[in-house]
Amino acid sequence: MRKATILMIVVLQCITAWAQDKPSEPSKAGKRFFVGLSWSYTSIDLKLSSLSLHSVWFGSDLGTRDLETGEIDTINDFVKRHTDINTLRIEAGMDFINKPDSRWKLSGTLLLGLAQNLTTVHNNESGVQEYSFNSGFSKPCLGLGINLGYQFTKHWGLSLRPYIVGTMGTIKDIDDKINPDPINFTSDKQDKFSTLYLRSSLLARYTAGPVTIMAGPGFYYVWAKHVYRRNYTNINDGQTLTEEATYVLIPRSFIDGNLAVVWNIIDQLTFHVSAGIANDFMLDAGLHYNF
Amino acid sequence: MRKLIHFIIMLIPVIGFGQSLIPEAHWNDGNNRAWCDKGLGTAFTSNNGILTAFNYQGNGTRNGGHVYMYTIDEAIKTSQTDLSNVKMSDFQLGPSADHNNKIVFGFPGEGSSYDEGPVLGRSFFFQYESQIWYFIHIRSANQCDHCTSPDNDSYECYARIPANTESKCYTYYLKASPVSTVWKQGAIQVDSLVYFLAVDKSVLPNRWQFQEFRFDSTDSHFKYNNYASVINSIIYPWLGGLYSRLDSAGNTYFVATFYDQAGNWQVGKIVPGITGGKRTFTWQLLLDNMHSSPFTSAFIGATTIYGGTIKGNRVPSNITNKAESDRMILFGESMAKSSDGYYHVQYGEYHFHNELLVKDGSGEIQLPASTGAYYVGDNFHLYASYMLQPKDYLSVMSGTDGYQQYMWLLYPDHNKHFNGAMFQSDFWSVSPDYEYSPDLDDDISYPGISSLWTLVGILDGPPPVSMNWSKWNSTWGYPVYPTTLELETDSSGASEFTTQTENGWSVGESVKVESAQKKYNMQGSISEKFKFSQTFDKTVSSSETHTVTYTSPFELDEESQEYGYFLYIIPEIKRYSFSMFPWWDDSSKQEYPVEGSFQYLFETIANKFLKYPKPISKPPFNIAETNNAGMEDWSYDKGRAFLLQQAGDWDLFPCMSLSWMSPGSGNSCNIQTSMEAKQSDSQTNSWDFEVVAGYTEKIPHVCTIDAELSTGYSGSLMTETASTSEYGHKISASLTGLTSKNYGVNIGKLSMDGYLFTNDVNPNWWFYDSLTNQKPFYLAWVVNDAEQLLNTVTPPNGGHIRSNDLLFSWRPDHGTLEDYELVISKTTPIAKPNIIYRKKMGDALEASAADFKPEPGTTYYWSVKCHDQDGNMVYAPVSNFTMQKEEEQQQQQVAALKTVVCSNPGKSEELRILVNPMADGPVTLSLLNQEGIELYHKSLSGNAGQVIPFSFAGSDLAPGFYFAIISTEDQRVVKKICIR
Repeated sequence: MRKATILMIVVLQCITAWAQDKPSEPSKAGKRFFVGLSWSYTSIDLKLSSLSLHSVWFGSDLGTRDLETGEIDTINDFVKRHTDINTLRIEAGMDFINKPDSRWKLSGTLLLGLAQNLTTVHNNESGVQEYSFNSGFSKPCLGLGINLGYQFTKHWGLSLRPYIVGTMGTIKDIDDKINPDPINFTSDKQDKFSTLYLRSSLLARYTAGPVTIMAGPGFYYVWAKHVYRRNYTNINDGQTLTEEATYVLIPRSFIDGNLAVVWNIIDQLTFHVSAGIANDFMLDAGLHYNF
Repeated sequence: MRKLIHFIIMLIPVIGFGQSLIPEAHWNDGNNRAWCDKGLGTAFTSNNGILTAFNYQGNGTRNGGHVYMYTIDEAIKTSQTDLSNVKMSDFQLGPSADHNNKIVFGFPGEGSSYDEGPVLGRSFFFQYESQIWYFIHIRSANQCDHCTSPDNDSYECYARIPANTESKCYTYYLKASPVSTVWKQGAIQVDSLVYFLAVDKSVLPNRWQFQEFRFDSTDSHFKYNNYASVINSIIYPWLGGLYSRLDSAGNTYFVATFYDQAGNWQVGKIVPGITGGKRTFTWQLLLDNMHSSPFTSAFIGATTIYGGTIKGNRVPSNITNKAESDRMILFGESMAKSSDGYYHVQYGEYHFHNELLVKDGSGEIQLPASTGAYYVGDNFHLYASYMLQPKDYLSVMSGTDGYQQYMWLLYPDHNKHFNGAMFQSDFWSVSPDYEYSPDLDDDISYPGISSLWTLVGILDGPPPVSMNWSKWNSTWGYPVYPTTLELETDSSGASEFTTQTENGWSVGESVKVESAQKKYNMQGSISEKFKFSQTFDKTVSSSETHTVTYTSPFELDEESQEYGYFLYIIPEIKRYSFSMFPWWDDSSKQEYPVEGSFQYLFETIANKFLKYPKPISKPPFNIAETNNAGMEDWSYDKGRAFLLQQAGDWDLFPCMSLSWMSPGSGNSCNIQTSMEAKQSDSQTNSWDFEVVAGYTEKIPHVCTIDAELSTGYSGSLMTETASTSEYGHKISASLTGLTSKNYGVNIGKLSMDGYLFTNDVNPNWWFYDSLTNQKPFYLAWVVNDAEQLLNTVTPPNGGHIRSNDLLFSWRPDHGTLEDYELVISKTTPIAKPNIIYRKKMGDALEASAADFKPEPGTTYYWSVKCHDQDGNMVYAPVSNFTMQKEEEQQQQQVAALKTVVCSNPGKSEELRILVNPMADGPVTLSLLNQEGIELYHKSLSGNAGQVIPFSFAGSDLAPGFYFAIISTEDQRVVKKICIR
C-alpha cells in the first residue's frame, strides 16, 4: 500500500511539472529499427498452484501424491515462495506504425538473453527456509513485447505495453534444508524449471522534449513449473532412490503501479527504464540504438 | 559481537543436522485401510514377533464402531521389492463359525450408535506375565431416540490376545459414569501388579498418576487397588513411548517420553520405589525440547522411543563407538508441516552411560514424500514397534537359534493410510560356546543332584516270595530267578516314560533358572531385552520331549530282594548362551553384545532312565522282613494292611493277580489296564548349589561361570517337567520260576495282587508326602490267602458287542464265592473316581445291568469283586468290551430279547445260555440237532430285567453242533452252539 501511495504521488508530481513544458516532436522520427541491451529484475511472491510428489525407492514405485486444492491452500497459508529473476538481454525491434501524421504508434520488440532464477521457499511455521534454488546467470530467456500508443495531443498519449518473457533451465545449485543428504548415499539434485512472465501495462504518457514519462497500472502473471528431483545412490550397493516433486507456482498478486521513463538522448540513442511496484517489484532498464 | 553470536546460533541447526537416515525399506498398506481418526485409537505390538495393529474404526452410520485387528508383514519380508506387495491382513481369531478380526467388548451402542464414540487418552498394548493385553477407553456414543446427547459414560475396554487363533480375544469393559477424566495411556508390570499410566484431565496442569491394579484370576479382570502414585513433574499430557530396562544393580526402571502436541516433549526415567509400604514412582528428566534436543525442528508434534539400534543404510564403519551398543532412538514428528505437504520426522540416537543418555547421532528420517507422515483427526501419530525374523545363525543349535529384529516406525499418511519405515535393528543370537552335562545322574560327585531328577515310578520290585536262597542256588547251580517283573512285554512293547521338559532361561548372567511362571512374571517387569527368549519360547521351542524305555527285567535274587526301586528320569542338559548384538556386529564374531541382554538357555537334550534301588525297609515300602517265611510284612492283613486300606478307600482294584502252588508252575500276567493307560505328572525340580571361589569340580559343567571363578557364586538348576508314564498292557510279572517248594522256596503256595497307585486316581496318596512335589505311580504287591479265583465270562474280554448282548456273568474257578459286586469304568485302573456303575449282586453269577446305559462306540472296563468263605477279598481280572457303534447295530437285525451263550464251544455242563426277556412272561429254550430234531426243551417264567440262566448240565448231549431257539411271546432268537 505504501508503495502504491508513493507511486501515485510521484506520478501526480511528474504530470503537474511536465504539463508546463513546451510540446516537442517525438525524437525518433525517421528511425524505424532499434537494437539494444537491457537488464531486468523481477521479485515476486509466488504460491503453489499444484504439487505432485512421486517416490521411487530401490526400484519400487511408492506412488504419486497429487495434493488437493484445500491442501494447496493450506500450504500457501504458511509457506512463502519467492522468486527473483534477473535477466540480461539484447533487444531488437521495429516500429510498425510511427508516422508523424498518425495518432497511432505500434512497435514490437524481441528479447533474447540470459536469466537467473533464484527461488526460495520459507516455512513461516517452522521459521526455516526450506529450499533455495539458484540457477545462476546462465539460463536462456526469450521474450516478445509490443508497444501500442495513441497520441491525444502533442504531449499526451496512452500506451499499452504487453510483453511476455520466458526462462527455462535446470538448477543444480540447490540448498535443501528439509531433505539433507542421507548418509552413505550420493545425491544428485536438480530442479528443471520453466517460467513465463506476462505483463501488460496501460500507461498514460506525457512527452516533454526528449523525455517521455509514463505511468499507469500494470497487470502481470507468472507461471512457473518446477520439477525438483532428488536422486540418491547408495555408495555400498548401488541401490537408488528417487523423490520427485512437480509443482506449479503462480503469483499471489497480479496488479501493480507502473512508472516508465523514456529519454531520447540523441536520435540514435534512447534510454528507457520502467518499474512496477506493488506487492511484487519489477525494474527494467535499457539502452536502444535506433536506426 | 552480539551479531556474531546470533549468527553462530542461527547456524547451529544447519551444522548440527547430523546424519539423515534412509530406512532399509518402506511399507504402505496396499489395502488402504484407514487409520483411526477419532483420537489415538491405533496401537501396535509385536505378537510372537509379528507386527500387529489394532485399529478402532467406524462401521458406518448407525453401526457404531469396533476395534479391528491386523497383521503387518506376517511373512517377515524385508526387501523393498517384497514389502511393496505386502498388504495389511486381517488378524482373524476365533472358531470357524466366528472367525474374524473384530473385537467385541459389548458396551452399549458399540455396534449400533450413530457413529463410533471418540477415544479418550490412547489405546495401547501392555504385557502381563506372558500375555499381551490391549486397552482402549471409549467415550459413549450411545444415544436414545429422545435424548439430546449420548450417555454421559465412558468405557474402559480390555482385550487379551489368545495363545492361538482358534480362540477369540478375552474381553471385558468397565463403565465410568460420568465420563472419566482420567485417561490411561500405558501400563507397566512391577512384580505381580500392573500400574496404568493415566493422565488426570480434570486438573490443570494435567497430572499423571500410576494406578495400581492387581490381576484377579477368578474373572481375569484387572482390579483397582484404590491406590495411585502421583507424579507432578511429568507435565505433558501424552505418553509417546515406554520400555523397561535394568540398571547396573539389577533394578527395573522405565524410559518414557511425553509430549503435548504443541511443540513440547520430554524424555526421562520412571523409577519405581517403595515409600511407606506403598509403591511409588519418581520421574528423572533426561531430555526435553529445552535441553539437549536432538531435533532441528523447534516444535515437535509427537515423540516416541525405541530401545535398540537402527541401521538406516549405514555400514559398521559409520559407527565410531561400536562398543556402546545399548542404544535408544528418540523419534520426533515435526509439528510444522513442510512445504512439501507432510510432517518430517527426525531422530536422536543415544547410548546409555551410567544410565544417562549420551547422544551418538541425530538427523532426519527420510520418508517417501508421496506418503510422508501426516496428522489424522487433529492428532499426531507416531509409533515405534518391531518384528522378529527367525534366524539360524550358528551350527551349535539346530534350527532357529536367534532373531533379526526390525524396527518399524509407523505413521498415517495424508490419506490416513498405514505406513511404516522399516529399519534393520539388533540381532539376538546363540553364542558358539556351550556347556554340556550328561552326568547329572552322578549324585556322588554332585551331592543333592537327585533333587533335579524326575521320579516317574516306584516298584516293590519283582513279586516277593520267601526263599531259602542257599538251597535255591545250590539246587539250580546257575542264576534262576523265582519271580520277575518287566516293564515290557513281547506283545505290547515297552513301557514308555515320556518327559516334556521346559526350556529354562536364566535372568541375566546368573546361573539361576526361573520357573516358567516366575520367569514370565519377571519378564513383565524386567528388561525388554528378554523379549527375544519369550518369543523363542512361544514360536520356536519352549520345551523338549524325550521318551525312554527300560527293558532290563527286575529279577528276584538274594541281593535284590532287599530293595525296592525308584524309577527316575535324569536330564542331560546343555547350556547355551544368548545375547543381543547391534546391527553393526557380525553374528559369527559377536564382539559387541548389548549390556544386560545376556541369558542362558538350559535345554534338556536327552534323558536317561535310572533304576535307583532303595532299601525295602524304608518308606514307602516298609517291609522290614522281606524274606520272612510267613511273609507277614507283605500280607494283606498285616504289613500291607494300611496299603490295602488305602486302596480300599479308593475302591482301587488290583491290576495283577499271581498265584502259585507247589508243586507246579506259577502263573504270569500282564498288567490289567487299558492299552492307553498312563499317568501324567508335572513337576518342578531344582537343585541349589554353591561354588567356592575357584573350585568348580563339584558342580556340573552347565553350572560353571568362568567369569566368576575368582569370586564364587551360587545358583540353581531347574527342570520343569511334564512326565507321562505309559504302561498300558506293558508291565508283566511272573511266578513261573516257582515250581516246587523243595527247590528252596520257604512256602508251598503263594497268592498275591498287584496294586497300581496312580495320581489320576488319587493325587494325594500317602506315599507322596515324602516325595516333595513328585507324584509317581507305585506298583505294590499284597500277598493274600485266597485260594479261589474269580473269572469273568461275558461279555468276552475285548469283545465288540451289541446292546442286546450285554449280559454280565462270572464264575469262580472252583467252589463258591459270595457278595459279588459288579463295577464298570471307562478307564483303568478301576477305582472310585472312575467307576461309573456298580451293583451289588449278592450271590448271583449273572447281571443284566439294565440300568447301565452304555454309549455306542465306547470301551468299558469291568470287574467283579467278592469274598471267599474266609472273608478274603477276591477280584476278577479286569475285562473290557466295546459297544458297537449305532450304525453297526442298525445294520444287524436286533431282537429285543437279550441272549448270551457262555462257554461256547464247551462241554455240556459248562455251556450256559443267559436270557433277559426284557418283559414279563414265559421264556422257552429248545435245542435242536442238525436234523431239526428237538433234543431239549425247557420253559421258565421270566421278568423284565431278570437274567435267566439255562444250563444243559446233566442233559447228556453228544458232542456236535446244535441250534438253540430262545423264544418269548413275541421274540425269537436262534443261537448256534457247539458241545465238545
